[in-house]
This record gives sequence, C-alpha cells and structure tokens, in this order.
Amino acid sequence: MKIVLMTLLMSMFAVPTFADESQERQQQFVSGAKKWATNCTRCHNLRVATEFSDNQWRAITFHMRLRAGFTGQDTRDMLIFLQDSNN
Amino acid sequence: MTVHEDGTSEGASVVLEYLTIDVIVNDYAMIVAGKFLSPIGQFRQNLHPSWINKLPSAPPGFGHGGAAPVSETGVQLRGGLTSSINYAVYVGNGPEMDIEVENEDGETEELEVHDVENEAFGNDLNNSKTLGGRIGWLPLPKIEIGASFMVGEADAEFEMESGGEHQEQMESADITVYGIDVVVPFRNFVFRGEYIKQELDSFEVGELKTLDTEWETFYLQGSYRFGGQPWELVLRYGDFDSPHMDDDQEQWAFGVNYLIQENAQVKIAYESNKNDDKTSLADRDQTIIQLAYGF
Repeated sequence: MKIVLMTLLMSMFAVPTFADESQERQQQFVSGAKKWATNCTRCHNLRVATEFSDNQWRAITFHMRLRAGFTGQDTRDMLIFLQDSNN
Repeated sequence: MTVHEDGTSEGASVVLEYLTIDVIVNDYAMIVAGKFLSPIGQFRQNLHPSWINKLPSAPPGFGHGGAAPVSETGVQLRGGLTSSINYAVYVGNGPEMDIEVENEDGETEELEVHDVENEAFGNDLNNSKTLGGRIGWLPLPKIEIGASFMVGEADAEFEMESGGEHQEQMESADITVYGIDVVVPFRNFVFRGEYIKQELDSFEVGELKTLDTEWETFYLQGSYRFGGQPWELVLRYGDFDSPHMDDDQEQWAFGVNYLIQENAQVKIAYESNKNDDKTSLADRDQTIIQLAYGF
C-alpha cells in the first residue's frame, strides 16, 4: 500500500522527461500521417513531405488550416509528420 | 491577364484575387479580414486554382455573373470545431446588381437586373452588410458534406431619365444564396457535386418594377487516377439556369490530364455546351488545352 501511495505521489510531481516528449511526438506523428493521407486528397493531389523544408511546411500547414478548416491540434499533428518525414 | 491574337493586352485587367490578414484566435477559430474568396460552396474557395481543378474551366454558373459568389470584402471567422466539423461565417459588403436601363423619349421605360456581381467590392453603396457562411461535416474521414448560405442586400447605382433629365439612382434588393456540396473519394476515384441557388427580390422605382429573379446551378464530377500512373480521366456534367436565356448553359465536359508532377499538369478537355439559342456563345462547344502549375 505504501509503495502505491509513494508511486502516486511521485507521479503527481514528476516533470515530463525526454521519453514522455518523444512518446507524445510519436503519437502526433502517427495521427498526423493519418490526417495528411485522408484530408489533403479531398481537394488536391497529395504533396509528399520531401517537397518542402521544415519552415516551408510550417507556412503551408497553417495556410491549409485556414483553407480546409482544420483544428489547431490537427494542424500541429500534420506538421510534425511532414517535418519528421522530409529528410 | 489576357493576351490577344495580335500580341497586345489592350482591355485586359490585372486583378488581385484575394488579400487578407489572418489571425489565429485559438485552436478552433481564425479571423480573416480583407478581400477573401467566398466560402459559399467548395469550388471557389478550394477547387478553382488550375493545378487543383481537374478541368481547365469552371463549371457553368461558377464564374462571373453566375449563381455562385466569387469573393467578398469583409471579416470572416472560420476554423475546425473538431476533426470532422469545419465552419466559416462572415460579414461583408455584399454584391452589386448590374442594372439595364431602357430609355425612350427622355423617359425610362424599363429596368432590368442583368446579373448580380458577386465579386468583392471595396465600398458598400447602401451600408447594409451581408451575412454568409458554410458548415462542413465529415461523416467519414475522407467524405465531406457542406451547406452554405448568404443573406443580405444587393445594391446598384444607375442613371434614369425622367422628363428628359438624368437622375442618379441608388437601389437595393434582398438577396439570398444557399447551396450544398459533397465530395466522396473512393480508391482512385473522386466524386464531387455542388448545387447553388441565388434569389434576388424585385424592387420598385416609381412606377417601374423589376422581377423576382433566380440563378441556379449544379455540377457533378467524377475523376479517375490510374494507379501509379501520371494519367487522369475526368467527366463533369453541369447545368446553369439564369433569368436570361443567353446565359443558360448545359454542359458535358470530358478531360484527360497528364501529371508532370503532382502540382504541374497538362490538361486537354472537350466541352459540349448547349443553349436553346443557337447563336449564343453559351452554345459553342470547345476544346481547351491548359498547362497548369501551382505551388
């Protein structure tokens, strides 16, 4: 019982680690890949990640957020997928 | 910009299609202010760039003087409420009417609304704003169904003759636009369709009265991309009805596209156009070849 309480207390005050951030980014990457594949082709041909640099993708995804009516979270997920896939 | 056969561009105009300031409010809303593409329907705001449009032309009724609004000057709030619901709502200066005035013996005999100019105006003659918008719903990730509306007043300035004298006149008429649109991608096929109707109420000037008028258009389009190949086939049917028989058009369009890249293509299309008046330009069939490139 003491161990459970200690673990709960520690997790309450735990700061995010690199592992947490990496896992969250991985989730966003997967989510972004799905959204990229399903959303873009409703209007136009699919543009592959390697076509543009990280900064260009930032401008493009925020432009497309306006055009297609994405939420901020969906836009960020797609941006992470595109930036992590363009090397 | 148009270049004529003799190489001159006399009479051509250069137009700024849209220019906006966009402000991100939060994850679900953005403010767009300035001259923007009309969010009524899908074609004008999302599909009309030549590298996106599968055919070299706009569907009948989706251009100047058609049923579908082109652009607007005003303020717009738009965004996504969830991954499956998006929206746009705006307040703008609204359209103007193109009035035809028939004068005889120093008196105005007839007034007629020729068309509604649904392109953004920097000023608002009657200071009455229009309200419009669209809501899109994605029941499945790739399928989108949209519904649009616009209500307000269209205005016009024109000259009439009375007792042999010119009189400046400014009039307004209630206008309503509504539409639905749908897109269904399925494997290598993409099916889409759009319907828009614009209704303009009559108005009176003295003893003269214009008629209630309607513009109505729809199109259905199917396209097929050969798997792994740079070739694409497109078939579109469209039908535009206006109060003026000369402008009506029923159209079958067939196109073949060669995709040099995803954003660069050569398009060749044949349009079979029909208008009851065989001398009308809207009755002419045409073949169009287009090289399209987009960023």
